[in-house]
Amino acid sequence: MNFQNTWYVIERKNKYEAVSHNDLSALSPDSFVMLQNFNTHQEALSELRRLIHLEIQDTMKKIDGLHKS
Amino acid sequence: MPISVAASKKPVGVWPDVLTPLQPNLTIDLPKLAAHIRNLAVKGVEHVTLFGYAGEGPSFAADEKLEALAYLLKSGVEGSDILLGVNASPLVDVVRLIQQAHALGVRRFLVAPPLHYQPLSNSALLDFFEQVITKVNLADWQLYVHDLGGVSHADVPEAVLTELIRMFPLILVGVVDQDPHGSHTLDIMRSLGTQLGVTSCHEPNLQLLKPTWAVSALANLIPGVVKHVLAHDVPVQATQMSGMKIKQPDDRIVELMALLGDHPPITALKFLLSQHYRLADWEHVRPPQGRLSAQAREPLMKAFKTFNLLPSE
Repeated sequence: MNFQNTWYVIERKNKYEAVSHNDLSALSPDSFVMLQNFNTHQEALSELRRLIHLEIQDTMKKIDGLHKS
Repeated sequence: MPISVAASKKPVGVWPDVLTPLQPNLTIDLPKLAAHIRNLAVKGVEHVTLFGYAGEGPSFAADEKLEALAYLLKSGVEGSDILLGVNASPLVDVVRLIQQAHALGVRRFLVAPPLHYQPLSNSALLDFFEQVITKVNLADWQLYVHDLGGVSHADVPEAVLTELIRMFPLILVGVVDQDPHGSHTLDIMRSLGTQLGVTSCHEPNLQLLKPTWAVSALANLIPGVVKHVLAHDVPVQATQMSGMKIKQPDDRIVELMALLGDHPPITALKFLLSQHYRLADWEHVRPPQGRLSAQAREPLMKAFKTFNLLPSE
């Protein structure tokens, strides 16, 4: 499999990011967790949006929980 | 171009026993399966085991396996990098699946003995494998015997393996031992290790057994760790302080095994993968595998967060 022109969704410094293969290669290997690899930038961005949306939902649930308690 | 496996007789490296993602209707989620294999490949995994024990192999029909194979090959996975689990009881089904997958480009087959009518006599088992090899009637393929002794009372005794090597030295290449007892695998290695690639599916045994390859369910989550265990090396730990214990790869395997605890392993691993990818559909298992209870999910989720999957893993 050739990953040269592919895109990644990673978690770095508690944030999700979509990065190209070249950008990923420049990062320190211990500085991020690779979550998924995608063929296109669009697919990676779509996954990034999904993950951010889930984080927002989780945070809203936590805030609701704080209000109730 | 024909794929030749004869040159690389004994397998090497990590062959994750790939978990099979399902859609809500319990059919195989092919895009998710291809994506998972891509993600493993990015992490340095060069080969995969499809429809093995952790891949719920016995729960899928031959047609489903062939459809998944065709999809993966189209997605860029090489047939020569696949070890395909074959776990049907009828001889004709076993032969047909091997022939059809071979036509697609697959050359390595992990064949389990029939699970019905156990215990089988040595001569019956020998007859089964002999008939499979004869009826497949192809030269360029490799048979890996799946010894399910430790999990399904379907042991393949050494006497049977010895006779099969004598009869089919170019076809029989390896033994994958599902038995969690290291001594069981060690006995096979001592007797047949020079002729066959013998390995254990129980990752805590790898450090002791030192096989050249591993079919690993945990490699779905921590392929890097299993790779380090096989290579007998220690990954570089990012944060090191005086007096701080450097974690060995097998420590992480022990930690993950402890986390899985008494939960059904396939279900629990799929749950953890669903957490890693944040894709709830990864939790689906096909019966007879059962789902995790609501009480089991919360502590397992917390334990996985504490486990803290590291970048190099």
